[in-house]
Amino acid sequence: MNGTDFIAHSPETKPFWDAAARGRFVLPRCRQCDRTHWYPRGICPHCLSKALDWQESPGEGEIHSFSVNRMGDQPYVLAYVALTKGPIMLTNIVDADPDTLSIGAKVKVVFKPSPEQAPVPLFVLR
Amino acid sequence: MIRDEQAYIVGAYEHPTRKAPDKSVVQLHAECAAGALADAGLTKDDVDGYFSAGDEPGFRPVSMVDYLNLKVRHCDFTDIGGSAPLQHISHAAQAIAAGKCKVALVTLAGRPRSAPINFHPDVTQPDLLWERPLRQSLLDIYALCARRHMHEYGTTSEQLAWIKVAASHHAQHNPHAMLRKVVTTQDVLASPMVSDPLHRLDCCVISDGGGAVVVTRPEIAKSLNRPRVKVIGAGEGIQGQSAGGVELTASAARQSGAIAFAEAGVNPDDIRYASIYDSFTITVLIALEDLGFCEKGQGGRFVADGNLISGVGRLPFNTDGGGLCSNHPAMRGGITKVIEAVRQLRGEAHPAVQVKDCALALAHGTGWLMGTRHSSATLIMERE
Repeated sequence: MNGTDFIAHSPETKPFWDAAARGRFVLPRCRQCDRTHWYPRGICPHCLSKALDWQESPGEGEIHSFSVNRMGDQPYVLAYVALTKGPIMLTNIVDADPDTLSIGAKVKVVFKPSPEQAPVPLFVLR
Repeated sequence: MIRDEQAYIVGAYEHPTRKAPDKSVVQLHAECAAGALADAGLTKDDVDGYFSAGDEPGFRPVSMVDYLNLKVRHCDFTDIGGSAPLQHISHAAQAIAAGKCKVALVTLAGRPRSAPINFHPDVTQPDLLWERPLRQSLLDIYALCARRHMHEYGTTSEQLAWIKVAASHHAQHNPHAMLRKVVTTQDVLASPMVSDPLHRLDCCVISDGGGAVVVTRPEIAKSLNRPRVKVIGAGEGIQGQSAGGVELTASAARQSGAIAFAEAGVNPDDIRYASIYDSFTITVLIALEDLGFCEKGQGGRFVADGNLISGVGRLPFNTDGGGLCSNHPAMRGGITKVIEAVRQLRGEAHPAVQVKDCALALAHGTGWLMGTRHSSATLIMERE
């Protein structure tokens, strides 16, 4: 599976990946209802308007929940991160000892290369 | 209202196999179909409605109908995941009430144990683009629900373990169950942590197999020499991540359960037996709360000390051992939930787990991934 196929099939999200390639974290914001959403899509899932902008976000938030998969050689952390005044998004917490994590811990976005596609938004402890 | 329209479950069959290295998926579907029709005292030529979740290979239901040589005039192949067979029984009841068919066959089968599913992601699936690089397993997603439930309500791993303990108490009496050893909460907590906070024994088995159910009209049901099980309420629901407002401690069961109870005109307190989809212990805990068997957040307390164990607790559940101990065919065990409820209502469950005078039962399914996007379907059935 070549991950770029995913992006190719999702032209509505190209601005996100273009920004990500420059290390910028952008969120879709609706001009009609003034709300952001996650995951990004080409129509506002709150009001179905197509009037969307990409707004740069500081990418800061806190851990809403997390799990630590311990079945492989290296544990990895899946998490929902609640962005400050923003949506809750599914992501990984990286570069942290899983045993030190807790719900409510402050985190910040980083972009990491994915084996499957362009740099993806992951989070580290702040 | 389904209650007024009246549809009856007259045939149910669970495939006894848990490992089918030498059988095809269609063969398993067909053996289940034959078993359920024989159980009902009907033949394949009586079937004029067919329902499946498209688990079949090839042209899926079209290939399956051809393989079984059915002559159907109504079909429904909705795939909402593991809850699909429960939804199919509801849709069959509606189709029967509308005069679209008279004898509906619902089948589910698969062999993920013998032939592990090689997941080919659909690159056009919009949400997968944002999940695929995170390399999570479905187990990790359910673990997110468990962690958040623990955080919000103080639920403990030991409380979750009671759900496995109850299932294992029932499975010891099921000769077909994959895991028949009675376990303790200590056993569950001592099993390897697979996706923290879920342990290996918080998870269901992976099995081959399947099942089938036959639904029909009142006059046909009354002509058959079988105890009659009436579908009196059915609800369904889908819950997503709400565009960034995901709720990890509540499920679509809130909706499907409320609709089913309202249709049936009964309350959770009236239910004598419950089949609850049990891909993981947390799946059961959240469903119990959302179906109204206890207050939100009280699920841990509700299941502790064996309240789900038949003969011991207030709400016997999954008396065949469920997905946690018996089987989880096709990685989507919805149909087995209905089959054990039918056994209970007919008085045909194993004597050691049979609920006395079981006149009202609930079966509930959860499809795909609680914690991201999932479906639910709830059925309430009454012994007539």
